[in-house]
Amino acid sequence: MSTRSEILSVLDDLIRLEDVKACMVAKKGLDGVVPEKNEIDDIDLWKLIRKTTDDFFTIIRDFYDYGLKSIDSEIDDYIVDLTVLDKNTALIVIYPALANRGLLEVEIENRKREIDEIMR
Amino acid sequence: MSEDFKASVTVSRLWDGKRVGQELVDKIKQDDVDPDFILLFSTIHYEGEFQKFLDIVKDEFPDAPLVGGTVAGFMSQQGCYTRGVSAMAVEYEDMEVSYTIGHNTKGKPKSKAKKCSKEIREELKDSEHDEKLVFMFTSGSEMPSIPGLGSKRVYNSKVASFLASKLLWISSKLFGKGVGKEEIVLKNVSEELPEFKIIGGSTTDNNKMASNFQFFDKKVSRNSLVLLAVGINKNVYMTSEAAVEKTEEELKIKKGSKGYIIKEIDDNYATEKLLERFNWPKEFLNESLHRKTFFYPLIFEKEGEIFPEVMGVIIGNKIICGYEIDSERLFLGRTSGQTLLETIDKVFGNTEIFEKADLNFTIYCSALLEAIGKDFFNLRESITENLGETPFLLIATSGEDFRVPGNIPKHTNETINAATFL
Repeated sequence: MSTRSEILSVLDDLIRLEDVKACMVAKKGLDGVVPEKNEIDDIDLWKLIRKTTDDFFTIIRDFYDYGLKSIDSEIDDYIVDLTVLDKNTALIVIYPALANRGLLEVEIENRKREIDEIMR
Repeated sequence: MSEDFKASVTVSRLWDGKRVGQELVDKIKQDDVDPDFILLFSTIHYEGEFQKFLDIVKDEFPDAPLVGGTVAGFMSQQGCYTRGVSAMAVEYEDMEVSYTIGHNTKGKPKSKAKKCSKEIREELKDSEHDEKLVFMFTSGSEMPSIPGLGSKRVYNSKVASFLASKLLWISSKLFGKGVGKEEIVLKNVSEELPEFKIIGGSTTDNNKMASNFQFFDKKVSRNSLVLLAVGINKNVYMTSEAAVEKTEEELKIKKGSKGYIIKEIDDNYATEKLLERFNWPKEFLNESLHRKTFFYPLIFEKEGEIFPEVMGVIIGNKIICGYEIDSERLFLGRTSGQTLLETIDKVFGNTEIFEKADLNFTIYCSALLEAIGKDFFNLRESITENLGETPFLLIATSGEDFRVPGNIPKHTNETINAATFL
C-alpha cells in the first residue's frame, strides 16, 4: 500500500465520526490527501478556510522549530483544527463549533500518531 | 501477576460488530485467559453493532458472566480512545461471581437497586471469601428531545424552558429518560450489601446525554442497572480522589422540588446569580457553556467528604445538576490539567501497592475527559509510570460510584476511583 493510500485509510476512518465534517492531510493551498466523504459543500466557506489555513501554514513554518503543535480557529460555525505533522504539512480537521471538542481531540491525536508512523 | 490470576484487557478499533467481537475473543485467547467474568464497554458509535459483538463474545465464553455498557472513552496499556470497544476478562479459580440486571432505574431506582442487591446477597451468601467487590453500571442521565428544538443543554427562552422542565420530569416516568438517579441506586445497593466494596459508573454517550446502554450477557438494555459481584481470595485496594479544588467561595442555595435543581442562589434566581458570581456575561449561556462549567463544578460537603457536581443543564433560571444536592451550602470548585495530573499521582502514587498489582480498574469522569481533551495522553503516561506493565482499564463515565465498608457511599462527578487487585 502506498503512503498516500495508507493516509487516506486513516482519514476515511476519522471522517466516520459524526462530528467530523471534513478532514485532510494537506500543505499550503489545501493540496494533499482528501477523503471522498466531505460534508461541507459551501464553496465560499472552503475559499475562506483555504485563505485562513494558508496564513496558518506560514505561522507553522515560522514556529515549527519552537515546538508549535497545533493551531485552531473558529470560522463561521466550524472549528478548523490544524495538527502539525511537519514544517509544511498538517492534519486538518473541521468540526462544528458546538461539538464535544475534548473527546474529538483524543481521536484526532490518535490519527496524528498513525499518520506520523506512516510518514516516518 | 500471581500465577493463578489471569487478566486480559483488550481493545478493538474495528467498526463492524462481528469483527469487533472476534478481535476481542482472539485477544483474550491470545492472553491465555479463560474468563470467569468479563466487563465490556463500548463508545456510542457502535449503536446498531452492540448485539453483534456481544453475541460473538458470549458464544465463545458462554459461562463467563458479562456486564458493561456505553462509555465516553477509555484508556488501557494499548492507548487512549474515545471511539472503540474494550473488554476486561478475568480468570481466577478462587473466586465466586454473581451478576444481575434491574430495569427502569429512572422510574424505580430504590426498588430496583434493592431487588438486584438481594439477588447478589443470596447468590454469594456461602462465599467464604472476606474480600467482596461489586462492579455496578447504571444508566446515566439522558436529556429528552423537544420536538423542533432537539436535545439541548441550555434553554434560554421562556417557552422552551417551560417545555423542557415539564418534559424532563414527565419523560422519566413515561419514556425512561431524564435524570439518572444513580445516587439513589448506590445508596440502596450499599445498604443491602454493607460488606461489599463498590466501584461503578453511569453509562453515557459522547457527552451529548442523548442515550446510553447497558450490557448484560447478550442483552442490550436502556434505563437499567447491571451489577457484577465477586467474593475473592485476593485483596482489592480501593482509592477515590476528587480531581477538583474546593474554593472558599460559598453559595447559599434553595433547591427545587427535586433535589438536583437549584432554584435560587443567595436569594436570587440561580442562573443570573451564578453568572454574577463567576463574572461571566449572559452571552456565555449557550450550548458550549458546559465546556466552561466542567472546569468549575459546584461542591457540597457531607460527613467530611466532598461531592463535586457538574452543572448538567440550564433551564431558564434553574440549574439542573447531575445528582441530588445533599446540602443548602455549596462551594465553587475548580479544576485544570495540572489538578488532574496531581490527582492521578494521588490515586496511583502508592508505589508499594502498585508494584504488587495484578490488575487495575479505574473509573474517571467523562466531564474531565471532555475538559482536558488530548491531555488524556499525558494522564496515561503518568498512570503507566506507576503501573508499569500491569494490565489496566480506565473508563470514562458520566458519574462515578464508590464505597468502601465503613464509609459513606459516594456518587459524584469529577472524581477518579480505582479498584486494584493485589
